[in-house]
Amino acid sequence: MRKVLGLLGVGVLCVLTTLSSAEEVEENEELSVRLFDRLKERVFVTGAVKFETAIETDGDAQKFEFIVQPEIEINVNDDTNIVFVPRMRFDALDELEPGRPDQDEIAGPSRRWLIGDPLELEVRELFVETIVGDTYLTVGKQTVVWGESDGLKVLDVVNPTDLREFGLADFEDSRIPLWTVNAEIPIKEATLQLLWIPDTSKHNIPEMGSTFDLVNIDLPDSINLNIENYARPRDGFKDSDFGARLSGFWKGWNLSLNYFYHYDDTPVVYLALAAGDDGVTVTVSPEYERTHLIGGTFSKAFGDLTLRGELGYSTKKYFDASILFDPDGVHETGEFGYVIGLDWFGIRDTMISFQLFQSILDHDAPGLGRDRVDNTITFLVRRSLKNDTLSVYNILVHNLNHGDGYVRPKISYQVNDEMSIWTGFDIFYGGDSGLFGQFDDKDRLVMGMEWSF
Amino acid sequence: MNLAIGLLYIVSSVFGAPNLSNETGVPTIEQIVENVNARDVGVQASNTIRMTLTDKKGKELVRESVGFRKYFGEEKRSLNFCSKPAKLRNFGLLTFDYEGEEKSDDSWAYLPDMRKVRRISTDDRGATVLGTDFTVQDMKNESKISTVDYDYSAAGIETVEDHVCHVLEALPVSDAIAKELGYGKLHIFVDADIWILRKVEFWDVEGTHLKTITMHDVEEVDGIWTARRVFAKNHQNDHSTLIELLEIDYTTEIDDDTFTERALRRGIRGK
Repeated sequence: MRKVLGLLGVGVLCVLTTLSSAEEVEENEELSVRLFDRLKERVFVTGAVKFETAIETDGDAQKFEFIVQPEIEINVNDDTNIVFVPRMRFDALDELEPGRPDQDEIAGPSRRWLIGDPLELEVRELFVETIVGDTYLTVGKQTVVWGESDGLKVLDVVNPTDLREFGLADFEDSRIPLWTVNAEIPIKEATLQLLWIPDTSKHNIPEMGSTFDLVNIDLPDSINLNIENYARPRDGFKDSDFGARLSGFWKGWNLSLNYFYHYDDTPVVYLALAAGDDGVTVTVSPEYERTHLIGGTFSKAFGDLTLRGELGYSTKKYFDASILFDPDGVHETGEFGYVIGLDWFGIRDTMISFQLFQSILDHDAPGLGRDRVDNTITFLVRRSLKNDTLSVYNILVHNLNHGDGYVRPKISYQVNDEMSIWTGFDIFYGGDSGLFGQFDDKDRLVMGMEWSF
Repeated sequence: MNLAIGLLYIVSSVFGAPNLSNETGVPTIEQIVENVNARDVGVQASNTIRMTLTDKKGKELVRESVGFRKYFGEEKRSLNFCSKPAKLRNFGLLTFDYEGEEKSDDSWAYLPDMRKVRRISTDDRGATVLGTDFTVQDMKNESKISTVDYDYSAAGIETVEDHVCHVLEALPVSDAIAKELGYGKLHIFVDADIWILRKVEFWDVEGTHLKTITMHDVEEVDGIWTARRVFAKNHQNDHSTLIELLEIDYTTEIDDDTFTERALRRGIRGK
């Protein structure tokens, strides 16, 4: 950081010393020193350089990735800050998203700059936060997190997800920040949050041929396949998402009410069959549909135990269905989902966490590509050792309907204040038809290190 | 999550100096305890703290935090953010400590990696804090003396760094409390002039000498006796922790709105 500020100071000095007289030069040197001191007080540069590699258990290397992500904070005044977080990512193997993905799912201003196949630059966050009257206003590209659950999303759908590594990337790396106007208005002890999101970006879905591609259609040779581009809504005003959350603390409970009028970030895959001279053609048309999401959250600590949960109802969700019963291959229904989580701290230096996630559709349909009631559980154990410098962690995610899931044992060590290292496994299990089981052959060993500054 | 619990009680160790000696000049145990606990710690305090953790091989880890604490009647609210190292920047903890009430504290952690405020339990009073040699209860006491966890007896008068001290021996009131706190016995050295704690020796529940906490550079700040440095040495694993109070301000008004989930979520930038 000193070097950066030093360069800024030298730059100011160079400009000012173009003036002629020695006295002026002296005065300007003093001025530049004062400016430099003010910069030091107002500008904070932190960040991280991260390296991580993943090797599949059959020996194939999956990624060899470097990330440089500085975070620059400028304190304009006591009430106003500007935050800028650029990211450079270099993956020497280029297997997770081979080549240059077209980024159809991402709105133009939010896209990454792809420089060659392995290198990309991105503005992760760029926002101004200020106080207007009693309202806290954050305007710009940012991340908004709702909900109480970890990993299982009912209300945490404000920002889309980068599925480049399925769900295995760091929480921070797997979110796609959006250009958003975010107002937080205190109302007595509660807070009303209002969101306007003109950014129409959706989930980043790896293209066919990627390591974790989700679109893998295997048809007989006699059937032709025509996949159309994502029909993403593009009008920043007409297609905006809007959200409101009222949250507060009441008699020991943290409670919130949430409402989100949005395009679901998961595309609805419409199918159309057509017979022609060259046989049958299946046209796949991924589109996005609007829905109202209404829900709430709760949490409270009871001795060593913390109870937390969230629930939500989406008025319209769309699921794959048999084309025999639904001509467009899609079934429309409402969906109720909830997560109940328990965190237990009864063993010293250890946290044990359990979550149950249930998704219930309003009504079933013949040939539906999922059960009407779908159940997933997670089980997490984390233990700190050696005065918190060594951490051992394992999480199990298991779908009860399909009997598939994954486990992620991991150990990390803090070498010093700046450096940490880690290693672990990501192990999928279950049949091909399951969300997790489809990646059973993608088990991998992960090793990494991070230097923070 | 221990890391999360950690910063919760990293607040300045502040010690008041009430003048409550009895008429005979020889205070009873009850008077010593009362004198220590009657100290003025100020209605509010803002502070900046550096913690240096040293392991038996000499490896050091340094953490810095910015903290705010304010009393709302009997209820104490505090908000602390980690400022260094960079990896932990903006990690924050908010707690409502219901002094003297039966109910547990309410505590929230802001986890910057997840961008989430998470409700946490701080009921394990014997858990160590942020990898330091202090427990949750050590920090929570702010060098006051518990009137419910221990039975006290006099153990003489000794000198600590040229300060005459009353020595109290504290034994947990039950085996359950001993196990919960992780201590089988304490020797508490109370300064006979200004009623601050100068040193505390700890033994574990098996009776083995566990650790020593000492207070240094005690001075008056805004009329409140304040220890600028607090040092803890664990004799069993040869690990130590030095807490240095870099800045302390008892006078600047802290807005009530500081102690909210919204402020916790905004992080250190808002401070």
